[in-house]
Amino acid sequence: MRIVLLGKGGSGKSTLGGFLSAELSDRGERVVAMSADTVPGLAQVLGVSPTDDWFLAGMATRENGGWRLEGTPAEIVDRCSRVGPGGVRFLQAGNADASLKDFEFRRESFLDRWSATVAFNTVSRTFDDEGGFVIVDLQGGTLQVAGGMAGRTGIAIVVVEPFAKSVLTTRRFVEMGEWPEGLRLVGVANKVASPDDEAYLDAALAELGVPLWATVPLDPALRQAERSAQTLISVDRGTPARRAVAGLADRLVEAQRADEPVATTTRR
Amino acid sequence: MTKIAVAGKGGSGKTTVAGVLARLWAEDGREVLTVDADENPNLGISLGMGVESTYGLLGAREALLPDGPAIASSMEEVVDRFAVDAGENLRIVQVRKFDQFRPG
Repeated sequence: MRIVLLGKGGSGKSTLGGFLSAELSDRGERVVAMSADTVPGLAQVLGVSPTDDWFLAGMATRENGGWRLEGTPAEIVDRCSRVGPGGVRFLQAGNADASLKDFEFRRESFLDRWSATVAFNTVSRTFDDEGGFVIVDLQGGTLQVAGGMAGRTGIAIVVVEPFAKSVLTTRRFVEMGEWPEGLRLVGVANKVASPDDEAYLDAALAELGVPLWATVPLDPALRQAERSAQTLISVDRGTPARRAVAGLADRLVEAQRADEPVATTTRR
Repeated sequence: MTKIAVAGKGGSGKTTVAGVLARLWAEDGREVLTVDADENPNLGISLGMGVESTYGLLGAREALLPDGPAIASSMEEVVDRFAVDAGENLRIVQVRKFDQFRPG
């Protein structure tokens, strides 16, 4: 199953993506956690050293104006990924070098975006055939790479904080229209610190027609770990945030088993 | 004229800081032009324009260039055409609308 993590910058996509990868991995699922972000957040959460390699370099060579894949998708995944201390396989899709970030008219940037999409599709194909989860962390506030979901079933998890800006970002995702067929959009409330926060996000997501699949509390344990340069994946499994993500993982496994028909999001 | 860029990690508060600075200077009687260059533009909210007005802002770049490269006769022209009032002495130009799906 393909899972993409969307949301405003700083909403917690990488943190939740890392925890989710670990939870699914612990349930015996085959998992690849992939970053399509130029900020190495997911690598840090998983305790993998950020890499200058980018997927395309290990995956394809230029040939006659096109690209030729070097090996089968499964071989490429093995060759290009790294396994962190938590046992999760990590793969950088696109260049992690921030200096190349987003200069629209630069060739490198084009290749970067392009390669992230190709990487995502290539890796995902092995999972479509053999089962398991590919979890992709996107750059904040963007949908780059998600176009690669076209024609496949999958789940887009939008991570929402209890702030108007975060809700507006979510609304942009919902109202942009033209979601790839088969891609289901679900919400995860993050950094929820009070009943007020919870009620605010419940109402906001209900109005947008986005089902809420998990509510993750603001958790001081994560802040403390982050400040003491501990990898987040080493934070105790019993902390409230990780327990909430465990619930989300159960739900995703269930969804995969049921192979539920796609529920289209509708506004109100 | 003073130009100020606000930078930082996602979610660190760039937009909030920029919005509050702009409002304070405008209230002091300075003429302020804010430019939201974020791919996911929310500065209007921090300027106090409200969610609906922020959501409705046009992207200057998209509006100027449906298909072609970024060419306008001058930056003044871009500002004249796309700056929206956000209060006394205060205007906003949004560079982009929103990052759309890119076909795989």
